[in-house]
Amino acid sequence: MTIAVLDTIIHAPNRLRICALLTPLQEAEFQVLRDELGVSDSVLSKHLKQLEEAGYVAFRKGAVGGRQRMWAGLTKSGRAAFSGHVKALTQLAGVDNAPHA
Amino acid sequence: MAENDNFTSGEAKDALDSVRTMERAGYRRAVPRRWFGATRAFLIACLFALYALENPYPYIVFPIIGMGVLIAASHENLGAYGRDFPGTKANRWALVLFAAVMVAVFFGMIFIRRAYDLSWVPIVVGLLVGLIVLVTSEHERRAYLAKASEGSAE
Repeated sequence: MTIAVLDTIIHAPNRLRICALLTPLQEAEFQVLRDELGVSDSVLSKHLKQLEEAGYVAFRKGAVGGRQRMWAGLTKSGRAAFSGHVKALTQLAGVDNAPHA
Repeated sequence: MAENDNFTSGEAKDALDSVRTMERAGYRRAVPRRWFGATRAFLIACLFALYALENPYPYIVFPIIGMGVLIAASHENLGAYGRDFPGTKANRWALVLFAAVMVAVFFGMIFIRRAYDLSWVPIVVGLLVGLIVLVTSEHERRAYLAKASEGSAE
């Protein structure tokens, strides 16, 4: 059996939660991510920037009623990295019922 | 890559619980609204029913534009949208089959309308297709709700 390895970028709890939230989604708005994570704008921005620098998250800007809104979604490599990370967690935890990632 | 050795089994289980919770939150956010399904069904029904007219082509653009506006409005309203129809591989194949049947019905309807000059056929087909889309939309909605509550009672 191959041993999956934890991903240092995704390892941080907030970044893990961001990736998990984005997994079933194509895109989510910044405000939705902030509300679900229960963190401040600056904390979320910091984590998203790290994920973006790793190539795991891509952004799209849109304007509604003159208001700028930012949408974030996992990239293909982000999905693969998150899937590998969850696999490693599942192996470490020794459980069979892994999440869908 | 992080060292797996520094991470205990308990911590990994906690992390997996957190992953499940957030995945459920993602599905919950992407649950399509009922008005979205109903409006989508109406627009698709209109697309078919328009062929009851002698020359439907100047009007076909309206339900198509309406569909684009509807999808954009739904995304803005939810603040998130799902990747695809959640569920099993069988569900996805059913969706592909459904799309193929709809295309066949569409061209079949146009043929019957023109060959036999039966202007009521597109209206009946539009109503039936709209009803099918409405039922499918509700099924899609329930699939998202099921994913959102999956394992929550554990």
